[in-house]
Amino acid sequence: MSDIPLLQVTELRHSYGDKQVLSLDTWQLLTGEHQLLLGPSGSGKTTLLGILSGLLSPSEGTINAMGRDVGNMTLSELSSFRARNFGFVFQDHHLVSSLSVEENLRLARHLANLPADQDWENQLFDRLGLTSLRTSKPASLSHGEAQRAAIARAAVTRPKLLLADEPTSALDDDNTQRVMALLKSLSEQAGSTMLVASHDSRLKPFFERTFTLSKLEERIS
Amino acid sequence: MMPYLFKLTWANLTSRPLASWLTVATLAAAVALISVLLQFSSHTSQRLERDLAGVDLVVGAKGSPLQLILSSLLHVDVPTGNIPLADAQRIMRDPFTRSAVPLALGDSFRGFRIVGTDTTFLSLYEAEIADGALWTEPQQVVIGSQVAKQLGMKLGQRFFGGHGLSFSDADLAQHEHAAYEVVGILDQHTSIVDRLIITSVDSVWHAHEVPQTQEPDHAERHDEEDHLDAAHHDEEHHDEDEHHNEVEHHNEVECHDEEEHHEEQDHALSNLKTMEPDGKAVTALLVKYRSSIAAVRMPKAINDQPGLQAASPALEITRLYNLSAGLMDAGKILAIIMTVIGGLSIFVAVSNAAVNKTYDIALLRAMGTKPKDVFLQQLCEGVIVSSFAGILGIGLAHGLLLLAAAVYAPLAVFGLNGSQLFVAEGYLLLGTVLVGIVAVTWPALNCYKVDPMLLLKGNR
Repeated sequence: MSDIPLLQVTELRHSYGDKQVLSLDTWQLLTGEHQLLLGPSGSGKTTLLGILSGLLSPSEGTINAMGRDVGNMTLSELSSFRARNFGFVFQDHHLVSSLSVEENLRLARHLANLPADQDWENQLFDRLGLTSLRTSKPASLSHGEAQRAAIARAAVTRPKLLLADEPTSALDDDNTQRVMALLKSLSEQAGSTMLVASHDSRLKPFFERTFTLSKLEERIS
Repeated sequence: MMPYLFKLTWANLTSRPLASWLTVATLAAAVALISVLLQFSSHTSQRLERDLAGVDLVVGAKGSPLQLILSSLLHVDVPTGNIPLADAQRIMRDPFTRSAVPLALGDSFRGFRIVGTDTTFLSLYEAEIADGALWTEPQQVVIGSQVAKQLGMKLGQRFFGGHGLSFSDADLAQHEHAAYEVVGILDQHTSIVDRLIITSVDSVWHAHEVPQTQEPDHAERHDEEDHLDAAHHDEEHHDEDEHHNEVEHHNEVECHDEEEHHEEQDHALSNLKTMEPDGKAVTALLVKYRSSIAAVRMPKAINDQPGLQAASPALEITRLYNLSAGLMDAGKILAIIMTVIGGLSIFVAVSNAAVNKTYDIALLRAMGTKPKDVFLQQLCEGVIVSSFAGILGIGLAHGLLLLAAAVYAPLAVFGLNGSQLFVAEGYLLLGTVLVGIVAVTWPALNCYKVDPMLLLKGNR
C-alpha cells in the first residue's frame, strides 16, 4: 500500500429528488489498499460505489480517480476509463447470459482494449475451479460457480481497482471466508486496489481499513 | 469493437433460436413472395420484348386473338387453326407489308415445339447459328440452345416429330415417315427461340403427308387431325415449286432486303410467297408493317375476310397484363402485409429480448461498453436478422422457381426459371435490411437509455 490516493472525494453530496442520501466531506482510497465500506442498508454505500465508478453523477462534489477528475469526463471517456481501470463484482454475480464463461472474460479484456492473455485466464480458471466450466453458459452455473466466474471476469483485466458490492450477502461463515480470501489473494496477484461495500461486519478482519457510513438521519439525530 | 459487437449479437440470436428463426422465417416468406413477383414482372417485360420481336401483326385463323398471339409468338397455347396459303400469299404481297414470316405449327418433339418457317424467322429474332448451318433442304432443322442442352442433341442427330403440342410425348402420334435431322444449333438468345426446333415449312408439310405405307385407320386419324396439308406433296410438284421459286426469286420486291440473304439459301425449298397454293395451309403470319398507315388499314382488311383474323401483339399483351393485373396487385398487397408482419415480428423479438436482457445491457455498460455501441449492437441484430431473411427469401424464391420450371414445363417455355438475378432484387434486399433497422430502432433507443446503476441498486 502506498500513500498515493487512487480515489479521492471532496465535498460529495448526492440526493434523489429532495432526499439527500450521501454526504461526505472527504474520503480517499490509497493505491494498493484493501478497504471495506461498511454501512447498513440506506447508508449510501451503493450510491458512493456508483459515483466512484462513474455510473452515477453526484449532485455536488469532486471525484478524483487515478489523477483524473471524473466529473470532467464525457460519457464515452468514462466508459473507456471504467473498462480499463475498474473490475466489478456485483451482488448478483451478473454475467452476460448469451456468452460462455470464457467469452465473458474475453469480452472484459476486449472492452478494456487488452489482448487475450491465455496464461492469466488459465490461472484464474484454475484458482477458481472453473476449468471444466469454461464453455458453460451462465444459466447452467450454480450460485457459487456464477460468483466465482464473476470474480474471474472482474480480475481478468488486472484492474487498478476491484469493486465488490455485497459479495458475501447470502453466504454462510465458511463460504464468506472462502470468497474473501479469494478476492484478497486475486486482487494482490492482479496488483489491484480493492474496495468492498457491505453491511456485513464479519468482513472487517479481512481489511486494513474500514470506512463506516451511517444513515444521514441517524447522523443528524 | 465491431467484430465483438457482431459476435455478441450472434450469441444473442443463437441463445433464443426459436424466436430468431420464427422472425427470420416470417420476413423471409414476405421477401420470397416479393422476389417471385419481381422476377415475374421483370422477366415478363424483358422476355416479352424479345419474344414479340417487333412484330406488328399476327395473322391466323379466326378465334381468340390472345390465343393467336400466345401460340404464334410466345408458343404457349395451341394455334387457332390454319389459314389457306393463298390468303397468306395475298398478305405477303400486300404493298403495306414490309415482311411476313410464315409459321407452320402443330408438332413437337419431347415438349419442344417444331416451327416450320423460313429463315427470315431467325432474322426477326436476330438469332445466330453457333454450330452447324441453316437448313437448305426439307427435314433439316436448327435447334435452340435450350433444346440442345436439355435433350443433349447434337449435329447430325435424327428424330421423329410428334403430332401435337403436349409436354409429354407419351401419347403423341409420331411422324415416322419424316425423320428430322439436326443441321444447326443456335447461339443462346434468351428468348423463345432457345426452346424451338426450327425448320422449313416444307418439312412440316412433309411430316403431315399420309405416307404410302400407312395403315388406313392411322391415315384416317391423321386426316382428321391434320390441318396443315390438304393435298399430297409429290416430288413432281416439289420440282415445280423449286423452279417457280427460282423464277420468282429474281422478281422479289426490293423492299424485302432483310429476307434476301436467307432466301438465297432456300434453293431446295418452296418459296411460299410465289408458289402455287395448291390447297396448302400455314398456321400464321408474323407481319411487320411497311408504314404506319398499314396499322389502320391492314387489321380491318384482314378481319373482314372470312376465316382470317389479325391480332396486334401490343394490344393483346396489354390485355393479358390487364387480366393478370388484379392477381399481381393482390400478390403485392399480400407481400406488403407480410413485410409489415415480418418487421413487427423483428420489433417484438428484439424488444422482448431487450427487456429480458436489461441486466446484460446494464452489465455491458458497467464493463465499459459505450452507449452508442449498445445502440449499434441492437441495430446489428436487426441488420443480421433482416439480411439473413432477405437472402433466404430471395434464395427460396429462386429455388422454388427453379424447381417449378423443372416440373412445370410452361414456366420454362416462358423462360421463367429462377436462374436470373435482377437488379430489383438488390433493392429488395436493401429494403428488407431497412425494415429490420426501422423495426429495431425503438428497442435500440431503449437499450441506449439503460441505466447501469440498475446492477448496484436492485436485485433481479
